[in-house]
Amino acid sequence: MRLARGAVLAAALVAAWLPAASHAAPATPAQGLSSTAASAPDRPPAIASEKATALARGSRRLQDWIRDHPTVRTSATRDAARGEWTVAFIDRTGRVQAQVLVDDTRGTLNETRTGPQVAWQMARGYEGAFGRSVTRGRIWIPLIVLFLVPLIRWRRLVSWRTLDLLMLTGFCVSLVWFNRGEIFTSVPLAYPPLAYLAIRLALIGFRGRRAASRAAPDAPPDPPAGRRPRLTTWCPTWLLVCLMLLAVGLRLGLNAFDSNVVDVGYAGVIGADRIAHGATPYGTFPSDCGQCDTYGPFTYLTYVPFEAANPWVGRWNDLPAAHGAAVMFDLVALLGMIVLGWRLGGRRLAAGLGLAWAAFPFTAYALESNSNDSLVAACLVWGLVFAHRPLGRGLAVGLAALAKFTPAILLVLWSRHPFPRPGPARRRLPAYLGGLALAALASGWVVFLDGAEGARAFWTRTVGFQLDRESPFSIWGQHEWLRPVQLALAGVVVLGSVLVAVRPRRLDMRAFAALSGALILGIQLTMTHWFYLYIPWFLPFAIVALVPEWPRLARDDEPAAPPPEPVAAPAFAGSTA
Amino acid sequence: MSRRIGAAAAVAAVVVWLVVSGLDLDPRPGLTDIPVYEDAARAVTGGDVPYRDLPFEYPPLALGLVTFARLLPMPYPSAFSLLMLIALCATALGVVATARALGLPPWRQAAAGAAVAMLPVLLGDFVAARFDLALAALLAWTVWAAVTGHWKTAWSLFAVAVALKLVPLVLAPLLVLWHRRSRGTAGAMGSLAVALASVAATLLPFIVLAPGGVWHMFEYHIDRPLQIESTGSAYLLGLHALADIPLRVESSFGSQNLVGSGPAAIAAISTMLAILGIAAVCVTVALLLRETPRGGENGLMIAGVAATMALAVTAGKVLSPQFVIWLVPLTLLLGGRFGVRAFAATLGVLVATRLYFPGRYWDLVGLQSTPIALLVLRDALLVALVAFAWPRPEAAGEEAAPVNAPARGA
Repeated sequence: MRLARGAVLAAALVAAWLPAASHAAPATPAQGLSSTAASAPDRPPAIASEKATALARGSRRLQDWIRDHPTVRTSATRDAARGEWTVAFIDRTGRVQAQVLVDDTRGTLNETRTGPQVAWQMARGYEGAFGRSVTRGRIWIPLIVLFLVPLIRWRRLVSWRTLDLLMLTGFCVSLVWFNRGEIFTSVPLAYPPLAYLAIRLALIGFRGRRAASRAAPDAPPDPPAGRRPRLTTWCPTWLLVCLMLLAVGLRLGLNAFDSNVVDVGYAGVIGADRIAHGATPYGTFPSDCGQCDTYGPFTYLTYVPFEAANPWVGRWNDLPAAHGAAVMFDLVALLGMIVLGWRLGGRRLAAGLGLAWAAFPFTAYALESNSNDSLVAACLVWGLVFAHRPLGRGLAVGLAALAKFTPAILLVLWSRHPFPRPGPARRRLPAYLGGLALAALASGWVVFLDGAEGARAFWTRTVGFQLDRESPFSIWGQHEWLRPVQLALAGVVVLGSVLVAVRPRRLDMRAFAALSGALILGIQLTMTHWFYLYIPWFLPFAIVALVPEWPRLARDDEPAAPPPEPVAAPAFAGSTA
Repeated sequence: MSRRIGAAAAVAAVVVWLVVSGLDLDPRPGLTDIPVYEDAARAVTGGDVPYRDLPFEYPPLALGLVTFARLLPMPYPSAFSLLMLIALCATALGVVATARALGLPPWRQAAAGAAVAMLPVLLGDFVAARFDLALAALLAWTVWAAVTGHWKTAWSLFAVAVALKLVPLVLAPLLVLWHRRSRGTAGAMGSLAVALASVAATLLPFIVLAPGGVWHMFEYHIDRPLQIESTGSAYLLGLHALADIPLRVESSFGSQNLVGSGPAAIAAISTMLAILGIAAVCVTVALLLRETPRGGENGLMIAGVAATMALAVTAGKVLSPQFVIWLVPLTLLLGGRFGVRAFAATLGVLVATRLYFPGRYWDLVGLQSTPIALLVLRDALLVALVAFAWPRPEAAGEEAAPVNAPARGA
């Protein structure tokens, strides 16, 4: 048994070693440098390269940038098809510090790219590049209202609940600057909510509700122990349901008629096509999505039925298969939230958790980008639903880890049983490991489709790629001198992921969810490449731990709460590990 | 008391009608169907064979109605309006009589009668330019006959209603369930068979003379695209207003419609939802009837009939403004707290329809935001109306005989 627990610990350590490997979104390569080399001799330029360069130097943004990043030479290339000059400003190391796009016909400046915008298309703030219309104020703000207004306790406005919900929506502030292409502002702004939520969830997980109550003098009195969690809000249940349906209708409509497919969704379709043709996805992707084979095998497998129904035609078109998969991930996660709420606290909590998922703008952001990130959330939510069954728990976390690797940080924590169920504990770990093995068998075969070659490619294309990755989408990537802090923080997270094997001694459902969220957030805090699409990974844990009113934990010297009512209303709280 | 309420409602209807006609609130010559009816009537009286020489989208009795108006000694628009005024009065009387038979309190009877009388104000004077008030009157008295146990009358009026416009067919399963409670399965199914045979008999001459033309009448309704005021269309228009999704409006089948693959998919989905929803209402009613004391089913059945008609209107791929008239004789009669909400929602539907039609209709066709918002509001109220009208256990009465009492005439 110790050997098995040790194996799980080792796996978790590997997972923790991959803070950067665990997130997947491959950067869309910049089109700038490669696309500007073409020239058409049959269409002479309207302005000379010297003129284009002189015009480019007039860009205010360029001047601001090269003041701090001196350049030594320029290079102007013309795209005859687009009728556009691209003037590159290059520093002494040969690195392109800025690009200015000049209209060949009118002599006007079309676009200025500075710093990371040169190489990263997603840093340029193109309107609707991610999420399309969902990022417009007339949709985004109503979604925030739909999320906040029903869940806030207006009679206790000054409370942890309010602060927690505001922090969850706090990523919107960062997104505003991201949408403007100002990632040196947007990236740091993402860290306060990330850090707050990680610390808050860790405190809840390790110290329980009593600590949180002490920290909040205005918090309401604790409900009696031994009861189920409940959703305290002014909003009647029928209205919660109606608002959830409204949000779902809006999301599905936007996905069908407005959304685009980012490279993450494209990757899934290509991978499914490869599997359908009997080949491993790893190392076999086309050049227009060359680094897209960086996800776990389960991700590609989930796209197979959709790709079979709408086969990939070999190019990045509307990709209906990606739409179908993204919608399925979203609906499965939504259904998981509803079932989880129902099991934990009845229909009111079910409606509340469902609304929290459906109205939260960043889950809509993931859906309208047709990314695969809700797949991770779906696996983990259903893991919570079946948390009382070790086999189901193991299967869920195994599939999540084989989708996007990050959830591997939960392997140790999820090996613990968060319920006061009678029966021999020694049977639980084998069942949990059986669940993990089942997940590995169900999706791992994809890696070996091309034999050992495929397995080698799997390693280099996933872990190898992510470990060497550089990205401006983290403070660690923007400020290299912070790397030691990043490593130290990663160490703390890894230690935490091991510590949860024995602490807290009492592990109830809330602590289980809170610690899961804290670990995922801890990994995200240490990532070299972080993006808003990753928020749904921890959202279910944060919602479950922060939104309902949980019963007070029994003190160590108190007897454990009575076992739950069977089947219809399993009480998951107030229990001992 | 109730007879006085009914009479007052009928008089009020006449007064309101005359006032509204005199004021001529909505002079929109392009938004009336009367010229279409007049042309059809002229063709019929001129010797054309309907469905062969004259394409017509409604069943034969509708043709009879519009032709009858031509035989009256007055200008055709006035004659048609007079017929619709009579239908409005008949609807008011039928609604009040049914409310009384259901045991609704006097204030609810008066409110229902007043709401019907105020239709030309609440919905607009275009109610005089469509023949849907005739259908409303038939539905009102069909329901009254069912509530009071006059089943021969009920089935006869049902047959006439179907022969006037096909939509009341959706009520057939519920009428069978209702009738079956008092007269047994054989009696109910027999009555349905006779009613359908009567409708078929009205069609038979035309099937012989012009089978293709009669089939075209059905085909016309099957082939219609997503009409711009339908709930599915409101969903797409809402997305258009929020996210600028591309939409294309075309005029065909006598209406303005959204066309393209997306609207076609939405039309198919909404039709499927309508069918499933109506089936769900029937199953719900059938299950609730098992626990309902015999004689206490009238409230439940009214709720079922109202919910079914509301579903047919709400989830259909065509939702012309006059279709909401069909709801009036049904949704105003529901009891209990949900009945009051259904009443309010019905009034809301009428007023919201009035707010965009006909005044802002062409702005709606031009995909402008304000009429889109009003349309979304109207269709959201329709969805709410379906929810309020949905059959619930509390809709059943409690004063009746035990559930295992022998059925009358079974």
